[in-house]
Amino acid sequence: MSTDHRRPLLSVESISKSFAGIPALADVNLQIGRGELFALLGASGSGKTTLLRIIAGLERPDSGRIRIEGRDVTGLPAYERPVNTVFQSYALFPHMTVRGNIAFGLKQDRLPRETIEARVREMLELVQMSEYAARRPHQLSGGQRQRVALARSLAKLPKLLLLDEPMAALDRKLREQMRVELVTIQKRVGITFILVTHDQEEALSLASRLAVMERGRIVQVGTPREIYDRPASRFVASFIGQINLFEGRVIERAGGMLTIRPDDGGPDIRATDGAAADVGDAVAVAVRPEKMRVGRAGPGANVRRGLVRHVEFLGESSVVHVEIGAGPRVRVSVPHGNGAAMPSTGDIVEVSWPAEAGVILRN
Amino acid sequence: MTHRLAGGLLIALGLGYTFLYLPILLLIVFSFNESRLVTVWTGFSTKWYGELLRNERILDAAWLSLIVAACSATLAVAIGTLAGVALARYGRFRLRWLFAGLLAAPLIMPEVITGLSLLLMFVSMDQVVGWPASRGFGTIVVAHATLSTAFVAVIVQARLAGFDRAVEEAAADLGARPATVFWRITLPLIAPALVAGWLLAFTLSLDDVVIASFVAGPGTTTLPLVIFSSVRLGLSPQVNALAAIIVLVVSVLAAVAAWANRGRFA
Ligand SMILES: Nc1ncnc2c1ncn2[C@@H]1O[C@H](COP(=O)(O)OP(=O)(O)O)[C@@H](O)[C@H]1O
Ligand SMILES: [Mg+2]
Repeated sequence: MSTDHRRPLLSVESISKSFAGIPALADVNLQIGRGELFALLGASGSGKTTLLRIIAGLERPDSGRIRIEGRDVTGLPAYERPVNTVFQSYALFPHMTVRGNIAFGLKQDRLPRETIEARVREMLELVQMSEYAARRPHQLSGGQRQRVALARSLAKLPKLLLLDEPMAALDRKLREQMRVELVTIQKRVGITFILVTHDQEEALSLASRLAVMERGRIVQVGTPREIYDRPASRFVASFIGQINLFEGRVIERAGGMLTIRPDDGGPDIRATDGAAADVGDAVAVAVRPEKMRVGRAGPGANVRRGLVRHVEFLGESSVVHVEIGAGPRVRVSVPHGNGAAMPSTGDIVEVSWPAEAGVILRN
Repeated sequence: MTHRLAGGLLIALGLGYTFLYLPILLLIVFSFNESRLVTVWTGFSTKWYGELLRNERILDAAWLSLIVAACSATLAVAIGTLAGVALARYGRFRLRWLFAGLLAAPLIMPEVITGLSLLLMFVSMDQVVGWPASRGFGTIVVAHATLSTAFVAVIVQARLAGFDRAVEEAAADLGARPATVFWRITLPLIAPALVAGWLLAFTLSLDDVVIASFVAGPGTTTLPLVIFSSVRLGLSPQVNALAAIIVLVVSVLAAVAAWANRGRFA
């Protein structure tokens, strides 16, 4: 399943949409390749569902185009688009059996009976619901309903499958199990998935690429690794995982290395130049807790002294909360079991991180 | 919430039901009275039922009433459903408030006025377009449908407001055109409301005296009109028997409606 960015399966071009004058989407651009499992990640109200509905044809954009395989589908109604959706509420037809639900889309294509029956059987097996074919939706559990909704929208073998927070209604254990299953199913059918979620863990663990949305805009697109390691803004950095931020001003730029004077009055911080910041710019240096260590690192590393306020035990690691002078509280992740001593509350410690662990954020 | 009813409430409930059902019970009991005098019990007999079944006038009227009720209920469901769907689904069209208001007017209009205005309309229509040449079956059906369309529309609208719009969108998303969505999804889901609306329209038509007395013709006397005029000449045990049969029929219809509606789409 190779991802082809040059000829995208879906292009979203300058899509804007307002409801009663309040913008829900502002100039959204996105290209998604064949076979991707793409996640749209954003807080509630950031416009994810609206974007999905515009792609599906259930909502009309105020401006902009939607193309599928290069063909402009902006004016096509939902029933003529090669796109199917798993709705957040599942929206199963309550008066039809599981089998009837899955067959519904195929019947609209006037396929021969044997083809429909065979495809329904195949889909029931795919989502492991064969024994429940004769049940009505209200006789199923939440997880089973979700499987039926998935099978129903996959049955037509669409070019693109949209999933709106498909796991939101499931409990944690089931959610983790369905996550694995969803990836397996996506690999098997080879259909491009766009998955909407507000759960960063879900997006990072499932997606081949993801877009982070904030108030109707896409603020960063990339692989989970890229977005985790090199967040493009303070918003993305703090939305995804834990991160420590040091606010300051660039005072020197030389040889691919920036020197930042922190606002809290501590020693200057050195960071590799990723964001093309200039001398005098206000920036933040963002460092993930697991990129920091307690104790002194090698030469050239940044070092701060502080007081351990709290040690949070998380199983395979602990997070040490260190208060640095008048500055921010810093979280340092310390793995267990490699012989390193775990500091305890009240200790004065040194916290260090190499220059290349810091990400420069300009906005 | 306590799930046991408090004593006082239970008594009030009992009184209410007694008040509602005691007259009907008395009516059924007296329909088996042997005496010609309606209120004096002399013994058990089914003779009034026998006489009723030989009374051509009443049988004809009953038959006419049933047909009128069925036709007007069907017409009301067809029009009322479309109006209900328009109100619930096509959100904010121009003059929606006027449409909604006009539709609801028959609910609060005194029946005498509805009947009188319909009569005037039929008379002027006859002069202008030549229909209806005489008042009778057609005019009663139209008049009753006019009345009950409003009830059906309100019931349908309430049912539509209560169900998840996403189900219709899911059907469209799966390739169903708007007409298919309506027939395969919307209609089956509001079917209980249609059944309830039809039964309500049917009973409204079946027991209407006021409007029918305006728009009925000489050859078309509905059952309530017959009962009403015969009661004015003096109570007859035959009418009790007839009423008992009507109660039976209506109860069966209500049971059927409840059965059709039993929490299928929970
Ligand atoms: N049909 C609608 N009418 C009015 N406002 C809407 C409608 N749909 C969405 N919105 C608004 O648009 C914004 C984005 O909503 P939505 O796309 O549902 O966000 P998300 O799915 O990310 O939670 C919200 O502020 C929401 O209130
Ligand atoms: Mg949403």
